[in-house]
Amino acid sequence: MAKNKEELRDLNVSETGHTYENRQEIYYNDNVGGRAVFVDSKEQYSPDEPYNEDVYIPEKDRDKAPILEVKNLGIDFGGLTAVDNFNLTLGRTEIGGLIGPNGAGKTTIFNMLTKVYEPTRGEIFFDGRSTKGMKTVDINKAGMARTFQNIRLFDKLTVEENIKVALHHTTDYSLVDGMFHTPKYRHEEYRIRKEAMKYLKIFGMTKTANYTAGSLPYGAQRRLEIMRALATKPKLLLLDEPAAGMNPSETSELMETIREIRDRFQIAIFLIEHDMNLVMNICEGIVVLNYGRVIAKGQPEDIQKNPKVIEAYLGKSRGKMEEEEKNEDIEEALKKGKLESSASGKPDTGSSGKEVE
Amino acid sequence: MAERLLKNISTRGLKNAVKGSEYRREAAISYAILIIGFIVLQAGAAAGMIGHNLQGQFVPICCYISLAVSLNLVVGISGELSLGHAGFMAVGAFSGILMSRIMGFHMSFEPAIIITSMLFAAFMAAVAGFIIGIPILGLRGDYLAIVTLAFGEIIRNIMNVLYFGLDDGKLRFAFNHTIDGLDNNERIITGAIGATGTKTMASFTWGLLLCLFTVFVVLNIKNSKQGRAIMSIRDNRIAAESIGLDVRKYKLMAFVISAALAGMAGCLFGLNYSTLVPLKFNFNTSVLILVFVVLGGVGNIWGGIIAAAVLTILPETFRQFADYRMLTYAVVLILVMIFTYNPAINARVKSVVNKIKIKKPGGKDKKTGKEAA
Amino acid sequence: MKKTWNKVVVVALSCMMAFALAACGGGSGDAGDDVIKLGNTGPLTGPAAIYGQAVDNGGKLAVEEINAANPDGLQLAWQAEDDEADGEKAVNAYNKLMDDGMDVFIGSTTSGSCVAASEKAFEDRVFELTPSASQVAVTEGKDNVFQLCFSDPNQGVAAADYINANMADKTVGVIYNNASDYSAGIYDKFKAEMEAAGKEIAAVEAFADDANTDFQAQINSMKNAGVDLVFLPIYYTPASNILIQADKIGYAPTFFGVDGMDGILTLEGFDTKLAEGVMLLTPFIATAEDEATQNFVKAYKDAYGEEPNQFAADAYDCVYAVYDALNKAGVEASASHEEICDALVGQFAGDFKYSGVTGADMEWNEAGEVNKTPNAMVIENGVYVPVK
Repeated sequence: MAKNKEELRDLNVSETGHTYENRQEIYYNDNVGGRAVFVDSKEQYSPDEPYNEDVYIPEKDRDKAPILEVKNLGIDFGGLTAVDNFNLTLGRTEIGGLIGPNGAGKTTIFNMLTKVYEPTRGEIFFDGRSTKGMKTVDINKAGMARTFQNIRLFDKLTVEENIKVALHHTTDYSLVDGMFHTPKYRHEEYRIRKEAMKYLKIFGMTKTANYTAGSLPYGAQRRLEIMRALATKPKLLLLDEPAAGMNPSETSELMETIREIRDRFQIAIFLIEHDMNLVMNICEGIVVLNYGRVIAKGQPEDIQKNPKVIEAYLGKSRGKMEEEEKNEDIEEALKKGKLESSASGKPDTGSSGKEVE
Repeated sequence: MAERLLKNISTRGLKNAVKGSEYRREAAISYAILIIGFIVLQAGAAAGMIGHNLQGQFVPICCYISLAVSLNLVVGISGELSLGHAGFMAVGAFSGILMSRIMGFHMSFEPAIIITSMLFAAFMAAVAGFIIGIPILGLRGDYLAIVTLAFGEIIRNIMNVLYFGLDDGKLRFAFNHTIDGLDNNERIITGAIGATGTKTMASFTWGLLLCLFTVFVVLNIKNSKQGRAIMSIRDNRIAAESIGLDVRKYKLMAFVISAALAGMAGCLFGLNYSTLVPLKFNFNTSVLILVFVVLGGVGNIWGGIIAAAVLTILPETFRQFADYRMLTYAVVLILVMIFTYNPAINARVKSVVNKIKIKKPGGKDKKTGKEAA
Repeated sequence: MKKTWNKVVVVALSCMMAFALAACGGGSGDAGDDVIKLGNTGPLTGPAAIYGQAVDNGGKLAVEEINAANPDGLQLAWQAEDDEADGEKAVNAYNKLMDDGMDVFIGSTTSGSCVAASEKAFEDRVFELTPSASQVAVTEGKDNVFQLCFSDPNQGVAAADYINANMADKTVGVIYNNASDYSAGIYDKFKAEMEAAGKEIAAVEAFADDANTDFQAQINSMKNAGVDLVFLPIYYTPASNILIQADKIGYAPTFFGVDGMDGILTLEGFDTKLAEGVMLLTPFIATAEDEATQNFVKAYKDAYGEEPNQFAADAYDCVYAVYDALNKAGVEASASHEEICDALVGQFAGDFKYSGVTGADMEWNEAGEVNKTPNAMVIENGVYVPVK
């Protein structure tokens, strides 16, 4: 009897009839074809321990193990403590946000997650495994991908080639094949070309496939960077200020893109952002950082109202009256951000079932 | 296919005639230059139109072209400055000569001797590249350049104290002193005196094959996953690491392959002269090859081919200037550099060229996506 | 792409220019001239330029004298090309000479270049008499290549013999250039001859480049080993530095050189007082009293304003010897270079003898080596003086 897509997925079988080791491979395969190389996933369908009260996980993810658990993470640079006592639990398909004033230590946390810096204390558990002793390369193989604050594309390669580099590990031919262009080479190149084009199609960039990455407009470069990170088939995507330098229309395009990625590929996304519009609209859970420490954690509504957050962004003011007025203004501004988004007519249905006010 | 090519040239202009990616175009131009150049020169030589001077340079030109292309693999594609390329040429030259003498003792079928010698030369140069590459590829930029320079000199100085002889078919070797009891025609390599008595087997045809092979390998790598990995490391090392690429592995790969190809070129060079001294493979030669690469455009394969050929012939054609020969050569080199990199002059030349070019009907400029003027 | 396109245009233009020039130089030029063209390649630029230019001058002088003295006889022409003492460039220079119709090859000046070019001369059947390339590999296996100068083995051997015969009580040390085929070759033979005679070399030091200017380590080593005769089978440029630096530390052994030392007195900026007492073996002494030498020296001084060194004398003798042989063989000016080659080989490998400024009764064997007696010279009061 033919089973429908959902039932098959429950059994870890994709539409094409292959059995996969874990669910995420299915989503990738259905969308872009190709092979995923996932290392020992410890995905479970029900967690061993139920979640604590103060750990916020979206409804949809409660039946799965968290993708990222960070416990007491901290780093010192010489005598300076840049980050201290950072805790986080991120749901398997959650979009999380990391905000805070400049210099709070947000990128430092990303760097620790990807082992560009080695943490001084604390532990990181990615997909159930401790990342102690892993290097950047290993982190990537385990399924964490990131983009950078200042765009780090391979400028002189074309858009298509940038994606193909990300597909490097699944391209299966040796140096000899590469040097002499054997039939195996041709077969694999054809395959990853199709796969790369599929990625480009999802993001509407097929026409620019042969342009050098350095010649693209800014917004396209950002999208390409996200695409490239996605091409490594991560389970968790870290985006460092993806909306930096974008105007409002580009930003709402980006919001759509991020949601679509999460929905299509069923991965978790953790982003650093300053644009409150974007953060409040798409993030399901938010962590606020100041001077290297967490000052607030929770859902967008809670964060907006949190006085510590407001204070962090704007500093203490002198008179109480002024303070209250100021607070109201800020609330307004924060809410306004949201209102603008709803005015553009796209309610956030998402999978969390939450609606925008 | 030729008709289609011609049709494409007329509708799209010479530059876009070959359909497909940049890679295909680069490959087509490179192979075309090599093959057409060979045919023209070979025909000219057969017709007696080409003097001794130019004819005698056919093989060295092919060697220098191959060296420029292989250096481009390190400088252009891997983005590292290597100042010791002549060292690998030396390793290849002397290994090749050694192997050719040993084999020449047992057989006289030249193609077999040449091919074995070139393979052996490539292997030895690759080993040298590997030994040198491992410690230095943790270095960056200038430091790596200086260390390659040092290794080039080290190789040359090691050659100065190597002595090889062939005693009735048996190979004899000594280090830092002459081998006693050998006739002159039994010596293969005699320290600083270098290689003597080599049977010259190189020919223009072999030169062409060497160039074609080098271009084939380098272009293929450029368009493969390994090449993309190498270029991505060049463009942005941190991003490449974050994607999971092993930086050292790929830098080493480029370095070793480049060394092997240089070894093959050195082998053919060595088989072209009956005597070859290690002094020939000094820093000056390394810089000479680097000049070919830079003048032709770093990373540009066919540019390197043209630059190597022209700059090898140029000093010889200036012999009519007698004492001012090298001065004229230096002046021409400076002028070419200025002309190609000066924006004002570039603009002028571009406008002249545009007036001559056939105007294409409003297509899109491929690189920037903007509409053509 | 803009840059690349411009480059293409510029490069294409220079390509066309280059090929036009190269093609102009083409053509075989064996067209029955009425002169016999003598060609030479040598270092006209670079650290050994004194030699290349001396050979060029000496050859030119000889050709002019001969043409002037024999207006009705065989006329000669002279052309010298720069090879920068490099084998590859020497072959190119030789090829250029062939393009320009060379009949007889006088050269190359330096050994490394000569070995490479001789191979070509052998293939092309062009007679070759080199004035100064002393490696054995130059003449080896080639029946049409002859040397006017001693071969290196002989220089090293002759030096060792002379030292053992006349200065046996001195402690001997050697400083040589181990990257130079010339220097290393002489040293090898010197060492072998000393060993054969049972004499010890107290200290041996090497350097790797003629452009090297610091020899303090080597000089100190000699001094510490108590050496009082330092054998220097090197060129005059590094030798001059050694003399300067030895003098600075007050070390004054006897320095003994070979033909490469010649030229030290005409080196610009060098204080010739430092060369006082330097000895060398040479076939040519400008202060020799015989008429031939004096005439040559005078003519050279008139033409070029300085005293000739050994290389100039070698080239001078080469031209005269070839002219002599040409006449004896009855060669016509319109002969091809192959015919000339056969005729001259017949002469030189046969009974031909020549007496010139670099030796009396010079004769050659079939292997191309010359047989003549060397003289020892010492520098006194800034001039070369025969040793009594």
